[in-house]
Amino acid sequence: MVVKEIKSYEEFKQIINGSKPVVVDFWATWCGPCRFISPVFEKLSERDEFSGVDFYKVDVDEQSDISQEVGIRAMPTFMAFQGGEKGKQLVGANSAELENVVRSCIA
Amino acid sequence: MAPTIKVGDTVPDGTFTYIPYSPELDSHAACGVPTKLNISKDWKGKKVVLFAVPGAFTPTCHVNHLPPYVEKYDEFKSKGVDQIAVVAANDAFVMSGWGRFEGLKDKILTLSDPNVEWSKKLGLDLDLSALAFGIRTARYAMIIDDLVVKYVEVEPGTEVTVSGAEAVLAKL
Repeated sequence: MVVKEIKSYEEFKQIINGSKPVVVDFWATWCGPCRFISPVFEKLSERDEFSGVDFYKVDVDEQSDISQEVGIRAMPTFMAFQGGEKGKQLVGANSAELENVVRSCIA
Repeated sequence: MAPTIKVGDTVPDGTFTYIPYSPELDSHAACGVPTKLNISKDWKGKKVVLFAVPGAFTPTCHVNHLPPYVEKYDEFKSKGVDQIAVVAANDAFVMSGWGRFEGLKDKILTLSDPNVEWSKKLGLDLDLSALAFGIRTARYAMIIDDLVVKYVEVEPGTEVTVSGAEAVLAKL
């Protein structure tokens, strides 16, 4: 799977309330650590073992409604959601921890 | 500029910007996101000590004004202070950097007064164009309790006296 961009608040609500687990990458174009971790996130999305998880990203400058709602304080922030519930969260460009967040969705 | 705000007044509403502290900022694993602090909403019902400096990292502010507030943090807390905050005309990124340099963590909020708008409303701005700094906040300290001013003093000279940690603690 590829990492899909969420383009609206309504779309975001639909996605996080869905039955399939999702991990969302909250990033900004000007944030160095985000640029470092995004290829790592892309690679995780392509792994067969994680085909049961959907991968998304939100540009916090373009989608300030979404980032305000979830309370983004620093980037990158990765959040797992399923059926309207928030799961694991990671703040910071930490590759190993990111894999744990994705893995927690299929546990 | 002479202060127009006085003890007993309710502070006018306003918005500061700041980057909330998170440990990942220290390790450079993450970038902070500026967020807004709305005075009448976020400081309602709280006892706040707010002090202003002309500039983050500048000599007096950096060496003489901020450190005593950090050192006396526990004493402020024991007097029922809910929030200590330092404000300046510098933007939220500079204020966040200064806060991390000083090791403030989440003890003292480092706020930016965008375009010195709020301080101007209170007559607490200072024109430092002669020093090539532009318009800044004056050096002042306030105790704001449930949005009412209990103490406000502007530093008359270049030393830190009435706006310093000791002076403010004595008034709590």
